[in-house]
Amino acid sequence: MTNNWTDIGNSSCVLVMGANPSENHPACMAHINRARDRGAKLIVVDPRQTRTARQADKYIRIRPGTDIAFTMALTKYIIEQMEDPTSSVPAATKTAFFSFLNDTSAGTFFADEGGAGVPVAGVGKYSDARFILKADGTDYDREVYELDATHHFTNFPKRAATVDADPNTVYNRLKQHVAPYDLATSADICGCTEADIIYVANAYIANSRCSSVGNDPTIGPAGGYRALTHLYAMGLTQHTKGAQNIKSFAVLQSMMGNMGRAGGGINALRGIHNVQGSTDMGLLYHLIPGYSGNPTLMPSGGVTVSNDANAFGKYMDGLWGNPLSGTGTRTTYNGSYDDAYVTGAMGLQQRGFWNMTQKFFGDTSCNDRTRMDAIYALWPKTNGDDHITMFRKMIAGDIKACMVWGQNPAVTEPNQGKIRAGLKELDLLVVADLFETETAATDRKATGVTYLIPTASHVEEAGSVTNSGRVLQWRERTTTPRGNTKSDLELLLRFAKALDDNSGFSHISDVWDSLAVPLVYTSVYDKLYGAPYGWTPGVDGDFELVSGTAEIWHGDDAAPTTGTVYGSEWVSELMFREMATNTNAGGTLWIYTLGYSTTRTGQQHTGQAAWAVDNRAKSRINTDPNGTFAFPAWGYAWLVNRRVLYNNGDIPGDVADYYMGPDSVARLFVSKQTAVLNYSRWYRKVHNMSDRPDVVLANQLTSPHFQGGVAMAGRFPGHTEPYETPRADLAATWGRNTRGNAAWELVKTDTDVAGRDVPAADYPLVLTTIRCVEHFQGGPITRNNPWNVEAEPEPWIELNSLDAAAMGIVSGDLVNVTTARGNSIASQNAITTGAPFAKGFVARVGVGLQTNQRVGQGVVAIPWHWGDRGLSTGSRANDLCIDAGDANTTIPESKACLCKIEKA
Amino acid sequence: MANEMVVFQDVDKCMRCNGCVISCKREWKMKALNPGVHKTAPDQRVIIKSQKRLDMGAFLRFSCWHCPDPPCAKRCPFGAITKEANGAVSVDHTLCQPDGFNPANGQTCTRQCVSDCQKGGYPKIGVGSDLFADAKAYKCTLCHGRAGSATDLDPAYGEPLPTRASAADIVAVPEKAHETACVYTCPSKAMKWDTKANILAMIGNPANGYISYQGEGSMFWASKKYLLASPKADPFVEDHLTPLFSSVLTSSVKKAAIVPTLVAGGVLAVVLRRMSLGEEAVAQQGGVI
Repeated sequence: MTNNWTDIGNSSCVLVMGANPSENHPACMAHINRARDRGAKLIVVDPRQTRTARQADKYIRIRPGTDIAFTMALTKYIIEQMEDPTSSVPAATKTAFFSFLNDTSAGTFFADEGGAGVPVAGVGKYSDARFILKADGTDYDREVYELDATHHFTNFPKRAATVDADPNTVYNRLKQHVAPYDLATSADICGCTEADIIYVANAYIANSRCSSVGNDPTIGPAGGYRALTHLYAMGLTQHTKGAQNIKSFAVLQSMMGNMGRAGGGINALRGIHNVQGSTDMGLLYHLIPGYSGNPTLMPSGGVTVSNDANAFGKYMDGLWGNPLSGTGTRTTYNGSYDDAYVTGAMGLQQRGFWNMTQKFFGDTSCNDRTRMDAIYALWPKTNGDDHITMFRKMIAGDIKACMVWGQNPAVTEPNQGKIRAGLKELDLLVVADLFETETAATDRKATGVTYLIPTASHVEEAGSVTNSGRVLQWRERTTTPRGNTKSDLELLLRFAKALDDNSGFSHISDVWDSLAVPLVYTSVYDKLYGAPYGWTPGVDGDFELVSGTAEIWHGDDAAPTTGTVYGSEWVSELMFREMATNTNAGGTLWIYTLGYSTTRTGQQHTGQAAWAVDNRAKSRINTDPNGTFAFPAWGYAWLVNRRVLYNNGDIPGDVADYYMGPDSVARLFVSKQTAVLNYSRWYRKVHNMSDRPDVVLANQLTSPHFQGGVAMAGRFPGHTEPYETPRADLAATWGRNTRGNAAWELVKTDTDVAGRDVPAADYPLVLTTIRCVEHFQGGPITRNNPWNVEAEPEPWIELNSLDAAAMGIVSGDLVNVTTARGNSIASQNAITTGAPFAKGFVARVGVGLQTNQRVGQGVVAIPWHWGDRGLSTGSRANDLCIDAGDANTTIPESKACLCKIEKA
Repeated sequence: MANEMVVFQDVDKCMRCNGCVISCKREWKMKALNPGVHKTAPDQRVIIKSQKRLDMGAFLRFSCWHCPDPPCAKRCPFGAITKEANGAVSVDHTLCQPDGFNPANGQTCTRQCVSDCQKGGYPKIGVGSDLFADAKAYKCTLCHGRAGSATDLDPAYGEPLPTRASAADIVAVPEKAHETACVYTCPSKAMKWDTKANILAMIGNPANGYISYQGEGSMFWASKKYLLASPKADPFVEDHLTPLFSSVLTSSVKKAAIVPTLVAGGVLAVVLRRMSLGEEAVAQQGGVI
């Protein structure tokens, strides 16, 4: 989220695409309802008429996988309305629209020479629309801009006087890009009406900066405040162009001035309470904690890919921060990388990596080049595998052991046959979960060993969680783990000890021993975990009895107390302190900097009292001093407690420092230092994504993705058809998304994944997956809870009444849905150990009445929570789903593939 | 003087997440005996009725209405059912003796509380809670003993329930110090816990835009979009027919078309109900767990 949950209350129009908060994020509806009570409209654009849609002021049905055609049509229509002198848009609104894009209020910029930011008259602080692109679109046309004798800006983008003054302004290139998305074309692609597109476009115009009375949200919609917020979830991301779907929101919201405004922004409704925290921690396979990329180079003599004497410096140079490749003005590369070893020269992300490397690998005293290189070498190099490839490698025997911790891939991953075939071939499968999940019970080869390790639940352990709005909140341990279950922290420490006891950490001790001044340690475990966190298995007794003194602030208490806390409550407190301490004082996670501070001031909003706790994740002050729904002292929002990113000082009371605006938010990434060097090197990069529609490769000059003879590098989002589509005619024109490499296939080339060659005649319906309020993700928690099972005991199939009538199906019939996936067509009895299932997805059909059709004609919706374990069992939707991945993120296209229905 | 309290449901905001149902079950330690069946039962004091999966609202909360002059209280041989000062109709489980004989007044329980309910048969008799081994009458009690002001609390019923009310709210209405489990849980803030006077004033204020409401004791529905039908007097209708019709009744189809169906359904329902009541009583006495 660029904004946050409570900020939704400031909105005057909530546009939901690809999300269903009524059923999947119920708590979100309180904030939407707050906005609606103040006069806001709720618009839902979705292939399925969800319960959210049913509550909305307007519901628009589109075909699965056509969101970009819809948003680009909005963009085109809005631009036309604004430029057309005869349109019904009020003249004042048009003036405000263009004055925003042509903004000349002096933005603050940071010069090559360093020092504080300086205002540069006429450049603007809000919008990049006047910036001039190179003709080939690869980057901005840049120059060395000399403000005065002591302020130079290298690589500063050139600007036109107005958005119309140059054919290559961002605005004009966008206009050119959206030209093919006229109303008729887009309505045909989306399966909606032209009036639907016009309705949403008009709502956009009426609920954006250009129509708003000022930027103070406290006057509310009744007082004339206008802001539109975009909410989305997996309905937008689970497509082969998922990342471009979201980028299309960024284009629209930036153009309409809704970024950095209260009640605006682009807000991902994340699926789990701490999924934001998990990405913060670098759980994605290409990241380490803090959104830093994986190190790739070994400093010397390493065992993998490539070696480079300057590996550490080059890695640091690639992080957001000061270029470290030289000295003096640091604008010229001298190859020494000396500054990479000087903490005073580092930006915040660089300093965080420095601290993290030292803490993770045990040498917190090192400050010279040799020692730092030695421990940097201990970082694993190169990426792991994405979730689809991983299971293919298990089948091939390249991956022999797998630890599944709090996941259930035997339900949640697409094209299940390959997933379970991969799990079957493992030599060792370890599942840590509350219940015997489908993964733990999956069919295994005779020599395979499977362990199920019982873990504690989330209420039996403590720690910080980070919600969608980036707010860190402390979750308390309400009770000790039941029976012989262990908290995740205890299990991790036990694994570390067991690894160390069996020489699993010898590569670390080898490095420590080889240093010129060898480290002093009793064991690797003790150095890395036992000493810092105060517990060693087999030495220190029961983990749950480890104790220390910490702040305690229960939800209902007016003020915090200090007392003795135990077990995970204490150990996670120690870990949080290590992570969230001021990065410049050794904190290891730079985005959480100052989340723990013994100084009780700083990072406050206007009117916010001093912090009452050091561990700000525990802060429970539920007041809103500026009336902007910011609640600034409830928990701690990462990026130094700003609740709305890019806010540029427009929102009353929000943290007012120079990290705020769109013109200077990058400053946070660049440096904490006063002297910022070569800032413009990172300033306003043209954003590139690696995907390309395949039709461009074949037919460049006539493709709608190819305007004016050139394609945009990091192109604007363009419509592509789903990998399996019922509209082959559109696929020929608009293409399907790829990674821009003709040899690279989005789906693995298994013979039983028919993929793009599936004939729509054999599989005439579009399958999309859905969730229900009663069950959660892969289901182990809720399908083992009697109350949830009572409320929703079985899966179902949603079908349009016209399709049902054509097939002779009535509500309540038992039918079978199949797709081209082999595990869908073949009987699953051979690859499941639970209740036998027939092929495909068998469940009873629900057909709507005339007024409550959930899905449109040609669409089938099925929930994916079920499997063959637990109190409630049912067919697995992911036996059917395709594992074509998003070209940028590898998220599978769960929201659109082809299927057919037969009576069971 | 105690305020008469009300649970209010804004029908338009309900999304049938069942958060109220689960929190009620959790706070009162109830079982899960009715997979997929949406009706009030010994283990189910609150339900959100709808036409199962495909229904998208309006969703209506069905639970005891806490009648001003409750017939169930009048007919209990043991005096187990009481109209409390805060408006709640509560059941004292220590007094309830299904089918029992009270020598003090020579009366025998024939489960009159269920059959004489004028609003849909809300007291339900059976083993529905882990708190009791024997079959007892269960119904919504507005979280008797656990919600309200400090003086309303009774440790015999369990821990006091939490609240989301502000300190100023509690000064104005002391009963807001502890909210009923359903109101506290409601994620969409569709429910309110307030005095009857305040709720009626809110519904009646034209500026708030409500076009219809139902309720009289301590349960109220209101909607800005739908004309709400009165809850039926017959438990069979409530349990079996209302779920079927609730979505139709509250959707935008022509309501006149529904009326003849309802009349026919109602007559049929009364007949069927008399037949089924006996069966249900047997099944509940059997106490199949």
